[in-house]
Amino acid sequence: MTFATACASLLLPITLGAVLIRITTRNDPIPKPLAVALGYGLGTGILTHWMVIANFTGMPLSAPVINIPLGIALVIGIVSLLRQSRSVRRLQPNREPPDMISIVCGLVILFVTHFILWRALNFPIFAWDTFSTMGLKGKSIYYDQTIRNLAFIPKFDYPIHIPLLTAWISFCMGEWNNTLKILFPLPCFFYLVIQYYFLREFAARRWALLSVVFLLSCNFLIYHATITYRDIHMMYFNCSTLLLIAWWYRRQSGAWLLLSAVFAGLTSFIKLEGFGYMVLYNLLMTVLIWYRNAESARAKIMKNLEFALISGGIYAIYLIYRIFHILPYAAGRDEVHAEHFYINKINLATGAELLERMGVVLMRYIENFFMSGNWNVIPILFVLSLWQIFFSRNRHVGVVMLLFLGLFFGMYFVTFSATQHYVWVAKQHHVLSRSILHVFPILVTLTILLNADDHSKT
Amino acid sequence: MTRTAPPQKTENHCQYYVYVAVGALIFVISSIFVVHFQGLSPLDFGRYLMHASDDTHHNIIFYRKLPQISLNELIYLGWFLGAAVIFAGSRLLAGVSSTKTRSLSIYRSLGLSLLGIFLVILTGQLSGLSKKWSYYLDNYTVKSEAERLKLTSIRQSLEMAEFCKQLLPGPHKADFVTDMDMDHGPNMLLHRSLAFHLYPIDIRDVRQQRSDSWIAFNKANARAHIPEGFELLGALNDENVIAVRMKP
Repeated sequence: MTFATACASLLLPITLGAVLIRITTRNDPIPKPLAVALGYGLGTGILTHWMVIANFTGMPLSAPVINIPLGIALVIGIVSLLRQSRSVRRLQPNREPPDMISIVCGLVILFVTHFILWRALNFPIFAWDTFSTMGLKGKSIYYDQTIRNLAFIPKFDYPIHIPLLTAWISFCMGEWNNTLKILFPLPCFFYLVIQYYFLREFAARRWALLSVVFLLSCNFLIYHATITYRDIHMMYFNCSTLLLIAWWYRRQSGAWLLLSAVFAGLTSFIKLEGFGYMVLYNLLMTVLIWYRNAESARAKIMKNLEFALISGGIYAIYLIYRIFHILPYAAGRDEVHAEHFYINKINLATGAELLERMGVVLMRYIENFFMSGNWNVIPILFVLSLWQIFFSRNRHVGVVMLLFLGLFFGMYFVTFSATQHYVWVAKQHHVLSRSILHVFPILVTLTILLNADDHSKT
Repeated sequence: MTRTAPPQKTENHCQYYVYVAVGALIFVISSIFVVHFQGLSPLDFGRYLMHASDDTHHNIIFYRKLPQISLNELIYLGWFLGAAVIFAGSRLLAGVSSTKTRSLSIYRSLGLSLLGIFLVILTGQLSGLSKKWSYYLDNYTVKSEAERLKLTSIRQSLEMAEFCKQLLPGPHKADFVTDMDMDHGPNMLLHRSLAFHLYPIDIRDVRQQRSDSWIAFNKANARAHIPEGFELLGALNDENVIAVRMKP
């Protein structure tokens, strides 16, 4: 019964997100499954930010307080969508029968996703981060009906999308139980849909399906889709944002700029490093906007500003809440573990020590990509495929992704080498794989993008 | 004198499937050959492939080790061998074949060989998943959430949390004492999971209230440590005890 309630509850944010996506992309229509997949991120992002805003006003959080305003927004959205639907261009569905490779890929995808869903729902919550911080935060929000007590839980200044989401689904179910784990495989599944439709713009169906099989062959991704760590959500938001930016780069439509900016902002609400990713997207957008010579400087500045203000504005919602309602209460509790990373208390390594550390971090990366059981043989395929960047028909989009990957790994490489975070990479396997997971699907996308030059319907 | 262009050889996609199969075969044969010298049979290798990635962890997953070699090393060996065979084979075929078959570049040979290996590993992975799944179905499906949790290493903390919440339902603030080192080793997880499962009974000072109860967990002779002003509410055993503040 609680499972049915959880699924029914999830329809609210997903539908709201999908409707808003459809409205935004009315001039550049997208397939419905893609709208739903993107709608998950947008809808849950709106939901958790609304919870922060509602809590600002002092209202005790509960299912009606959260759901009724969202329900009203959904009705308004549907009415608006129905009004527009007469003038909306419709997509021609692809009725071509699938070939044998597509069928085999489809069967593999069905099997693995079914396993993920089953394991996620049947294995109890058993994860350090959940017990220690994020799950406790979620329980605190659920039982205390406020987020103000988070100031007294370790890692009090971390973003709280997941604690809020787990508390919300518990409000809807009327109890805190294992069924809330449904929230963890979903971003994985929805991301697979997004990646599939992204690649369908450039390649035949079999290639797009093969990319999904590649992803689902990675042990680390499968495992994370079944446990209660936030990294699978981070992967969804981070990679979706980049694909939206690539879409915008290809189509040059304002809708994609808006959506990518919104997703960039939402990324900052998942994990602390999401803020860093948001800065990277802004850097990437600046390069892409200014690289195009066709527009006036004013138009370029406006686009740059639009992206920065929307993404930064979303980040600001929780930042303001944190400044006024968490940090003052947490004063004196911010004793810093010598090995933890806090943006305000960074211990930088320099000179010979830094060089030595860079060597160690590089070796850790090589070990992780090429000598672990995390990623199957995909990293080797990726490195091999980079040769195609000079010849592929899709190299323009490929370069955008490669640029982001350079920024992403550059940021982490410097952070791991120069700061106290080094210890978690060099002496233990704590953060490296999870940080790679955040961007790993882009490696798969790029591999397919560069190799698949035949764009047939099947 | 006019020179005529040589007949154009077109791309034959079917040949790629054959080369991928060759890559897969070379990987399997070379791996069986290597593990044979470690005393393992081909069947052992098949079983190993199915369970190579069984040791899952949220921070990193390493393939299970064979006696003296890792699966990664076997992959590289099979990859280079496979690519060499495909490259040489395609050149040979292009020379002698009457069909219009192109010889492959080194790049394509490497890619097709790797795809073959990918297929072998994926097959092992899928069989491993289905085996794991049927094991889980036998051990997990019929049990309740609490029973499933008791199969894990945090069983002790879960039993204590259930015991306390039965005796003291609803939100409470409890003082917490233990003999465990809560900052190092496996007891860290035990303590955090107890705090998580106990909530809304708060032992981590989340609500910043005055305590109305007292919980001893893994505390030797716990009853003797009940502070003044508190009375025993229940004891799971000598080391795990809950007490509440006496009413004035």
